[in-house]
Parts: sequence; structure tokens; C-alpha cells
Amino acid sequence: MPAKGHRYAIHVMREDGTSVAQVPVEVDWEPVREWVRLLALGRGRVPAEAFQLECIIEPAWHRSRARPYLEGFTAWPVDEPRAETATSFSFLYLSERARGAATQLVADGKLQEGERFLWLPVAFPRDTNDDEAARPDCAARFRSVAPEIEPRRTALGPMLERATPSERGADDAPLHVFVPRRVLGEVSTLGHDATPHETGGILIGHLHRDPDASRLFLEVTAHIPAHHTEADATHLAFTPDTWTQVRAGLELRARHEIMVGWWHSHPVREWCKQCTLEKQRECPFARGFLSQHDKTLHRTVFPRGFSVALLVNDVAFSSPTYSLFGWRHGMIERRAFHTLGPQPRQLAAEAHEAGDQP
Amino acid sequence: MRFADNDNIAMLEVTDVSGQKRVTVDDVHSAGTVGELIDGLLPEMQLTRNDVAGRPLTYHARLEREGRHLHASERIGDALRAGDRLVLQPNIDAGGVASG
Repeated sequence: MPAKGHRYAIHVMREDGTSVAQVPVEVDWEPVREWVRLLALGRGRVPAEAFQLECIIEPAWHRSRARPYLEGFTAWPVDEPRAETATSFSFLYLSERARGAATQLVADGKLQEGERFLWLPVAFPRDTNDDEAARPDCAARFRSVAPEIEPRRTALGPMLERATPSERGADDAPLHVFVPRRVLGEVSTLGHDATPHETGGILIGHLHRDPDASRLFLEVTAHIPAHHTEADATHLAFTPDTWTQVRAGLELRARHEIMVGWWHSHPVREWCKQCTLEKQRECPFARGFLSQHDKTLHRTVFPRGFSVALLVNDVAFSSPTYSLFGWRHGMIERRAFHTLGPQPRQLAAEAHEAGDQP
Repeated sequence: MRFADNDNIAMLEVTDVSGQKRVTVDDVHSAGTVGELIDGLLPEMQLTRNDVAGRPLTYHARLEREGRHLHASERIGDALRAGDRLVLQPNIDAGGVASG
């Protein structure tokens, strides 16, 4: 099994380079595996194989400090040659573990609250298979089954021709993402109406593969607003009933869509109402971000490498802004996307003609 | 049908909420509880156990045949039949300005 050859720790140092401690960490390798699987799918592996791939994950030793220090990891499918398919992952993949290690050292009195520190991951050969030992003793036999995700054969060129790139412009991620303006309009209305509370929902759509370029891309087709949530100004809980309702909505549509991500709103106009509009424009909250809770949700429910998280910022100084986040080399990062469909003014006119304009 | 304590249940199918992580489970000991089954499923399905604060995430198993969430304390032999489909559904938070 991959990555069991080593145990990992975070070496925390003071700014002058003196050592504070090495804190052992358990690493969640699933985002690395999912990224390798997405790349394999992009190379043309059939989905039933690609989404089930096991990986080999090895430390990439630090060039100047050498072992046991790491500058990252290298991973590749267990059944493909390393030389052709190995992918690099930065040591920043362990940033959250480093943050946790520092919190522990503050609690232990070895670091001062607010003290700046340096960190690097370290790895050592693992003596025993601790992962297996830690698993609960459940007498059942488990077998993983390939998910029913079959990319549709669709030409990418015509999609790009009728799409508009988001503000972040071109993107070198292994897949383009297309979001209808209609969806953006709907989620911004829901976000605005929910202020002062957060709200959210699930993005649904299709994974496509361009038959000529063998390039994957993701198309959001619609969203399903989340009900049965518990929300306030800084918190949104998706309950088990939320997921039941979303799955029912997906089945009712019967368009073979899959859950491709989720969206939620930040009621920034509520958070920043004590500040002037000028200050609000400069406020970090006005820039789209995912909190640690948001990232945990994304990791828990949407670990597939193609999954995205859309954020709508309901701000007081302009119309709502949108940010899209997705996986890149095992980490969740802001990413570019393309919008599809009529401009908002045209949408409003269409809605008016249809008689559903409020 | 109620399974005796020493019976095993054949072939359950379990998915995550997205339907994109699926496992089949065989030889499930009927004397065990749903909570124990969920504990065994989480590592198999690579689902996260804890939230950002290290608190355990709560997962509920929805039994599709009956359209209800099972209680963690329910005995597997009483609640499940061979061929049943379960969906593991987390109670999970988004949001959190301070940590953003």
C-alpha cells in the first residue's frame, strides 16, 4: 500500500533556525491519490480503472538539507511507470498539519502564542504497518466499487468559443470548468436573500472528455439549493436531511448529472456593516476565501480531483462577486472558470418575458 | 426477518453522499451495531473522521429501502437485510470567518 513506507513529522524551528520539536503527524493521502487518478483519467485511462487506482507515494528529499527533510512528495499509479507518470507535490500539502503541530506546541508551552516559526516535514522509515493496526476491528469484508462516472464525449473548442473566461483568465489546471451565468445569478439572489445568514447548495453537472484533444472539462449544469441546513452569519451546517433532499432532487431531474461540487455564500455586507464602504473594499473578507471548515467539507464530500467549490460574496459596495476553488496537486486553491450563457441583463429580460420576474 | 447473533449478512452496498465512493460489504456480523459498521466503513471509503478542530464528524447511515436514518445503536441483524443500500451522510459545517 502506498505511503506506508514512512512515518511523517513536522519539524518546527524558531526563526533563527534552532529546533523546537518534531511533532508526529498522520497524513491524509486521499487528495494526492485523487489528483493522480484525475491525471490518469486525463491520459485516457478508462474511468472504472482511473477512479480505483492505487498510488505509490514517496518522499522527495530536500535538496540542500537532505534526509530526513522533505521538499515534497512524488506520486504515481501503482501500475504505470514512474518515469512517465510521476507527479510532484509540494511540502505545503502538509500546511494544515504544520498549523496543528504549532497549536500543540503552544499548548505545551514550547512556542509562544503568536511567535513566528519555520517548519519542514521530515520522514523516517516505518517499522510496522501502523495504519492497519489502527483500523477498527470490524469483521466484515469490504470491496471498493468503481463509481458510475463516465465522461461525455464533447468537443471542447465550441464550448470555449461561446464561453467567457472569469477574471482570473486562462488556467493551466488539467480541466476547464464551465458555469452557466444563470447559475451564478440564482446563487447570488439566494445568497443576498439569506443575508445576514450564510446559505448554500450543491452544484451538479457533467464531466466531459474532448475526443480529439483527450482533454477533460467540467460543466456545471445547475444547482440544488440546500434545505434542512442550520445557518447563522458565519456558519452553515449541511445536515443528513440536506443530503437526502439533494440526492432526491438529482434523481428527480433524471439527466444523469453528478454532484460536481457545492456553493455557499458569505454575507460580507453583514460581517462588515460597522465599517465604511471604503474600508469594506479593502477588507480581506471582501476577497473570496474558503475557511478551514469549508476546506474540510470539500475534502469530506467532494474529494474527487474534478470537484469545485463556488463562493458568492454578498458585498455592500458592488454587485456580488464569485470565486471558484478546486483541487490542484492535492490542495484546494482558487482557480479560473468560464461562464456560459446570456449576460445578466439578457437573463432578466428573458425572465420578465416568461412572467417569473418578481 | 431477524438475523441470529451468529449470522452474517451478505453484500450490502454503501456509498457516500455524492455516490462517487462506493463499497460493497460482505459477511457483516449481525450482532454488531450500525455505529460499528460506520466506524469500519470510514477508512475503507477514505472519509474524514474529524473536523478542523479535531472533533469527530458525525455520519448517519440512511437505509434506502426504508428511507430513514439508522440509529448508531441499532443492531445490524435487526435493521438490515442482504442487498440493502446505505448512504453515509455527514453532519458537516461550512463557514467560519475567523479561520478563513
